[in-house]
Amino acid sequence: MKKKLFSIFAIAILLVSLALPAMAEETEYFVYLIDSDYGVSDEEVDRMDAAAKEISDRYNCGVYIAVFDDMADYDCYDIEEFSEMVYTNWELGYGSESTGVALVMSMSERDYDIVAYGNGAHYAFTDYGKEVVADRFLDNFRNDDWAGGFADYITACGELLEAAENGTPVDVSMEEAEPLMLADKLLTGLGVGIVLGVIVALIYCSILKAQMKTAVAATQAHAYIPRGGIVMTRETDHYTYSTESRVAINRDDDNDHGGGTTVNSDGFSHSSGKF
Amino acid sequence: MADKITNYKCPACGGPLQFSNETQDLMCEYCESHFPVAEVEAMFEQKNAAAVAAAEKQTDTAWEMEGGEGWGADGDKMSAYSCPSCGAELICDKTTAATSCPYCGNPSIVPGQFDGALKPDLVLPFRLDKEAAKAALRNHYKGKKLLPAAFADENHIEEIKGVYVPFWLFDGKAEGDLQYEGTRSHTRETHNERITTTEHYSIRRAGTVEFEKIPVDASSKMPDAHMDAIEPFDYVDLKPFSMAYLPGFLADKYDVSVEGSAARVQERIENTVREALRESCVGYETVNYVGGSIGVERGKVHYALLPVWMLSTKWNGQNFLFAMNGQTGKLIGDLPIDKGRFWKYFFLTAGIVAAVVTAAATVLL
Repeated sequence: MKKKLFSIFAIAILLVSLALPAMAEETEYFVYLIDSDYGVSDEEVDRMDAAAKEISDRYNCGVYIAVFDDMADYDCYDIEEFSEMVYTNWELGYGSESTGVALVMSMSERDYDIVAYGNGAHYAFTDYGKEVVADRFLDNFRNDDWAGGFADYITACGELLEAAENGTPVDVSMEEAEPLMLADKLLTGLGVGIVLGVIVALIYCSILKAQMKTAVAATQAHAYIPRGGIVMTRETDHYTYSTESRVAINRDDDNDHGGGTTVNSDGFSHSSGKF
Repeated sequence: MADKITNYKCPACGGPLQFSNETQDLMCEYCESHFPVAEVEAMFEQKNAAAVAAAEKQTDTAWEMEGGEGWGADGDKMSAYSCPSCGAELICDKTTAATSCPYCGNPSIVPGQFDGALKPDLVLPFRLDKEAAKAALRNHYKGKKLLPAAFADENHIEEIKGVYVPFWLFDGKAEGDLQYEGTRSHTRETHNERITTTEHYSIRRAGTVEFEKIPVDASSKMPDAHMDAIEPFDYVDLKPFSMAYLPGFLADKYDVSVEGSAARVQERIENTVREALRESCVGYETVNYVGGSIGVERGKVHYALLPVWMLSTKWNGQNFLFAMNGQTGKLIGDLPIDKGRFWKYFFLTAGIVAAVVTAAATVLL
């Protein structure tokens, strides 16, 4: 009953927000815990809200957190669609471009999405950069440490925005490996070569050994079936039942690590997954 | 009142059936199908009766011996030898001399009294001569990198002998009725999930197949694997037995009875039927055998002599037997492995691969 009331309240907020005029540069809050407090105290929420506001004002890019119990309550079953709906309906973001980044979570399915909007946000939060941000809070979330995870998210966003302001946004091209020394190459090659060599040698010598054994007992008698072969007297195939298996796809692994930010036709970029 | 517990299986999916108080019928725990009790009992009775009938088919009929005559007057033209080393009993016509045992190579075989009980019905004459056999044996050694160098030299290849090996040739008919479970699957992706749907099918295949002259060697001295490996023989050349085919060759007497050979032919027939029915289940990603029965109707058995060129040789205390199909030329025989050569090739191969990979790593990394 309580959850239903929270949900109705949240839907009302969303509906009301549609009627509001376009937001100015600032929104009042940056951390939204809908349907429940998820074990985060009011003091912690206020602290995180203040930190997010400070970063958002400094870099003119909104940094938001929006946590829901179940996106299905809003007739939404895809976390990226849901996060776009939240960002749009709540009119998040700074400036005329509504620049901002939001961490949107649906607790029941354990889905999260880091959604960015606006050129400034896309510049700072590249596809790789969003993965770096996610790595910072996922270990907290796996232990149900929500407050710790939210704090790490806000801190990571601040770091990425600072890097972007310095002209070096966090991207995969920054992470290229240093070239190996010759000794390292030799060692690596030798290690792999020995293992591969033993495997190939085993296969080759097994083939040579098999050539030495030719006496094998027969287990069937196909050669003694007269012309006509087997005469089938019954062939029946009945469908009985179906089974279904579902495997979550971690879209972060599918990212092209050639760098940059993938922006969809609605102007959003995403990095989503399970926590 | 039932005097034994019977577990009924669901005809749709194979799961266990339990009595449902609500619907007063039998319900499957897995697929939730419902079946009236009488229908399931009737199906079970039918299955039981089919299995019993299949078993009875095997036990009621015996293998029917063809011919089965004694040697009669021909026995006077035969000589017999026995080997004190391996116990082989060999026969040949009086014009042929046996100088050593073809099975173990023992040169001290002893002439004995010919007392052959059963005369063969059929014989497959030799098509290939001794020179062809020697050439095939030399070819068998070629290219065998692990063969000890001295083995071919010390092989006494001249001692290769032509032997008529006794075989039982079985005719029969098999009837199989087997059930399988098959699956087909397809996959689709949403944004967050990969969903795989697997469809399960209950498959039934039944069929009959006849067999003609499945050979099983009737000599305990001859390793079964060797004789199986030189198959098949072309029965187009099979002739009614005549002494005229024996001069110059040895023949072994059978010492394994028809019943003693029956288990091997039964196994080969059942495996063949199982494979043929399994291959008819097409269009599935997986096919798993669930159950069924195979009944074998026993037919005629023929006693035949089939031609084999044989050489027995000793190497490092071990006996090595080579056998060549005297009609088709197929030659088999296990060869000794030189351990030194084995390890030489092993380390050489490993070393070459390691060197190539190391060189590639310094260039590519």
